[in-house]
Amino acid sequence: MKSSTVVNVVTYIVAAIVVIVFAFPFYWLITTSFKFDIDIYHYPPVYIPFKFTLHNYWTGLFDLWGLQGIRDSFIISAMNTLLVLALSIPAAYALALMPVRGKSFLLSWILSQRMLPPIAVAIPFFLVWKWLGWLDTYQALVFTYTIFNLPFAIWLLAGYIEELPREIYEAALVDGASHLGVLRSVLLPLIKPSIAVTSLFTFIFSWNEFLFAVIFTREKIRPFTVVIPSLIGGHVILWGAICAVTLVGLIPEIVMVLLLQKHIVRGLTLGAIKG
Amino acid sequence: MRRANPSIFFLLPAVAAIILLTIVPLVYSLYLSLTSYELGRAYLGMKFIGLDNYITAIKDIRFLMSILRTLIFVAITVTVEFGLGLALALLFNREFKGRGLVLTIMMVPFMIAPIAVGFLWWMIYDVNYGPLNHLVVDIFHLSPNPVAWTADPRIALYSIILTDIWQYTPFMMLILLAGLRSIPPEPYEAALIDGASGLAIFRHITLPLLKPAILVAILIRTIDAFKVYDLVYLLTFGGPGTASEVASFYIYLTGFRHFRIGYAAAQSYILLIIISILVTILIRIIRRGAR
Amino acid sequence: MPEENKPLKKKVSRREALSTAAKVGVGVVVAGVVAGVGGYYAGSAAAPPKTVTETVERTVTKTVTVTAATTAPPTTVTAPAKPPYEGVKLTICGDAGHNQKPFYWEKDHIGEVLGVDLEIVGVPFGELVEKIMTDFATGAGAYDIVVFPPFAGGDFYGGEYLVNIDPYIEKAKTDPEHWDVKWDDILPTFRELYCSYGGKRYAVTWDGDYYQCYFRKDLLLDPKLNEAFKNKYGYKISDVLTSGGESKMRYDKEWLEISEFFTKAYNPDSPIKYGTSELAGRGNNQWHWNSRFGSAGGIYFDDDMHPLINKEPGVRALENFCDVMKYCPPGILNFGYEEHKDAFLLGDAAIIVQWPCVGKKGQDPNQSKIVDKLGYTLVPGFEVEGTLNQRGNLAFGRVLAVSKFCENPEAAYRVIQYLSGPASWWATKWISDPRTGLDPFRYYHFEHPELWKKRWESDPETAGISWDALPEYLESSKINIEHGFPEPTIPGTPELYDALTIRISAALAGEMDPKKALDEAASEWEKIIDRLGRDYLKKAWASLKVGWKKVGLIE
Repeated sequence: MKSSTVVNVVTYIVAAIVVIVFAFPFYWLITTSFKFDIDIYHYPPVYIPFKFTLHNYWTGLFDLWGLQGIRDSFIISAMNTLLVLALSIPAAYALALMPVRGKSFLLSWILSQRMLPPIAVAIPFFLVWKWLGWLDTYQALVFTYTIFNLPFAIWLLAGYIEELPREIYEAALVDGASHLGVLRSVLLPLIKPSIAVTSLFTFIFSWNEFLFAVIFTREKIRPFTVVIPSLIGGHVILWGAICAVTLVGLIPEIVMVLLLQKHIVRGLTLGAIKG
Repeated sequence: MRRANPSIFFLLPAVAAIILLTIVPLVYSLYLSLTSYELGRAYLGMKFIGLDNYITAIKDIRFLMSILRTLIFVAITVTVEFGLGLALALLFNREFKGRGLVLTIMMVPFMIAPIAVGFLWWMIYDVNYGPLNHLVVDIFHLSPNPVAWTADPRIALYSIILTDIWQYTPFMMLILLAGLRSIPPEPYEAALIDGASGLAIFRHITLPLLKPAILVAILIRTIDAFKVYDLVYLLTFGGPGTASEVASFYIYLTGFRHFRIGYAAAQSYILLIIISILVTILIRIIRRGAR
Repeated sequence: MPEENKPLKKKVSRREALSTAAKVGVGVVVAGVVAGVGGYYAGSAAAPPKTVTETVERTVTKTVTVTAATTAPPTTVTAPAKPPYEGVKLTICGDAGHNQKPFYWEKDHIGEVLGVDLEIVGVPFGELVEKIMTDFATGAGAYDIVVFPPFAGGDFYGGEYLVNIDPYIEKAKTDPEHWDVKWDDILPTFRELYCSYGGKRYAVTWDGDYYQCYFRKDLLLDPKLNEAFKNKYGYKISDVLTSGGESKMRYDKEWLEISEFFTKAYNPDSPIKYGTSELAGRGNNQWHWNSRFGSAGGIYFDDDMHPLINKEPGVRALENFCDVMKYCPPGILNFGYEEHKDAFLLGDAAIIVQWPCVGKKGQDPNQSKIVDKLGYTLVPGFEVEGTLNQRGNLAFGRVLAVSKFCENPEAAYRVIQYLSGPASWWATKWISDPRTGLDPFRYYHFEHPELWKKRWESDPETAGISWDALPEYLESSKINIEHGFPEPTIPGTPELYDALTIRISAALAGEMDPKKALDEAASEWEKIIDRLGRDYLKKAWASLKVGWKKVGLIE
């Protein structure tokens, strides 16, 4: 009894320290977004900005295209997530269920796509998109990111599906349902958690990607990861604006997390609760 | 009993997408790696030079050193992130008030765009005005002089490692935590009845049942760690000297500053081979270990 | 049911590992073949560097100044009834952020006056050159007007991706109002060194970057401190420099002594923490080395394109650079533009060499803690054969040029002329605005400080600026420009710089001996030059030397 209270207290303290250490840079990000320039490089550092301003938000979001950045990134990430889901769910179903010959090879080939070094394929991709006339469009990035997101998505979903008890859909199949029907009515509700997780990671990857974003876009599309380094301008780094735009860029992700919260932890389960 | 394989039609879209999207760029970039192609230098011509680029890369000390640094980077980050992530997952694997909020905050580091992380830690690491040195020197008195986090050639690489650890430990923690939550209680109950110790339970029950999660976490993190370059670009630019120049960064310079696209492609594929070997080894170790 | 899954899993694991291993096995075999064949190809080692003939000494003369006619400040440009380029759409690409503001400010007016619809593309600073090059090299041709730093322009000029603007400049003789970019008004330093290639003109200066020496007037010219200084070193600081005028500092004597005097670690009575600061970070340190190199009489290549960076002037430059490190703030080895500027503007360093914008920013209380305390003077130098040779690197800068993919180069040139011409008070509008990073490059800018004031007053955001010391700044700027030393601008310069900067950085960190560092850099340069084509680069260098001669850097 006593020892478990001690353990609990220690746990709380350690947890608190850990959280503080990890949260501190985030705290720094938030406070800097409200500081005046002169307080950003100040010694001793300003931990609590009693003098605060919204100027950085105005500069970053409205004066220097931060808002457009958020909008464009959102469109790209959302489209990419939907595309990846549409492709990966059936693929994962097939992979998990069917004893496909060469399935392991397929799996490892798919995984190896994520190992693709971006630099090597940047120029070839550029040429492909140019040939299609898709430079500075949403679709160029949506399709490029698919290559890197699809493997992880298929892997996560397949793993989750594999752990589900087979009787659930085998019964439906025996009853004469088509695979598509099984997928739609039986499986889909069951794998919601995994879909949640997959969506989150896919979204985050597309949202935060920089290299391809900067190479394939010009001025029609401005992903916000490209806007951020643009806030180095005219021999001055607008630290406050960078922090402001970054924070606003976090909002869609955090909203996603909050909405999908109850699914996420379950969704990472790679072995469902039996019974 | 089982219907005909739908695998072809269900798999086809995904596989077709990958093939279509990657086949042309992949083949083309492989081809480029066998040429002397340099961006914007049409006068040099695009000569087919076979494996010359690969040979040059293998003889390029700077490239080899950058690979060494990358391996150090990957080894340390993945190990620490895994260890710390596991500890945190175990820690948070119990209900307590505010757990949801805490977990959400803990997820922020890997949700922030890496390029923004670079800027953020650039500020934090600032030798004269950054909060880190203020805490280290003036508040906690851990060091008499300001620490040159990104300016000391001996520790520059490790500062980048530290930032990466901050960024991705929560990612590991999340995956491992989910893995922990999915372990059914029966094996634990059985073990407790048998009188097993905590450590033994951990080693023989928890770890093996956690294998799939461990596999996912370590593999994804390893693959991504090999490609790190935003942090290097912003925090140290590979310096001082080449103290923090990792392979991806050097390849980026080769391709986009020196414009040697052919050579950069060859370097990339060498790196790819190394990643593949490492990933294979890792899979075997994890799958075999903890039978 | 769990049983059914387990065997499948084991099978999968073995097969998966096997197949991945097979894939990798193939890769290993390939690598093995490569390694084996490597021996055969081993003979492709680069030729050892030849012994080089004597360095071409540079003369120490100042540039020949040509005074431009002083015209009264212009009125606004009226839009013609029928704009000449109605319906033409042009895209201008430059580094994003505040430097692009002038394009946005003038976009509508350009539409009225020229009929051109101007699209503005911003690229993050660090990616600008490769973005433009990708566009040119792949023939995408999306950019009509490009902004870039001259040192990276070699590949643009050499690749013949830019339009020769000589014909348009010629037109100015008969129709100055529409074509004149007042070429002779651009300071010779910029126009001869950075805008031409192979005897033809391709670009118009947009941002005149040069190095200037800034110091804390309140400290370095303080009589009491000068007395203390005299007691220690035998002369007064005020003897060797004046704000708004010349200086007589030598890198290896006065500069070191002043820095030492103001570094608390070496002089506990120092009123300020550090004597100086440098741009010592990797990727940035080449400019401060260039300044010293030029001052020491160095020249980058000989006529056979053999690098001369590791000869006596280069070593002297690097050794002095290393010597200064101890008077700089901690973290100096990773100092970029930000940290270096802040070291001075936030009151940590007493004297630095930096870009012109420090002057503008010094007056902004949002960025500077030393408002009205800045002094401006000529950068230090080295004594070469008895004469003090002071050179500041013309580091970075920007030029405007027309892409050869532009469908209407005439219109593009007119836009450039508009931005650089009378409508913008010969670019004074932009260089005086503290929100941009653009700096003076025309005689006109120096002769009309009242236009600077007019610009500040015209915009509520800048109306509060006061700069009593502006005339001092302008005078000092002009002197520094005249003592400018260019960067190399041959094709491949970014690659040359990379080879150089990592070794300068290593030397500064004490990890490499300066001479050895430069020797290694030089041999790397030889390899690069061989790969890019020695004859090709010889021609490029020869054409650049024409400009060097014109401004009196070489005989």
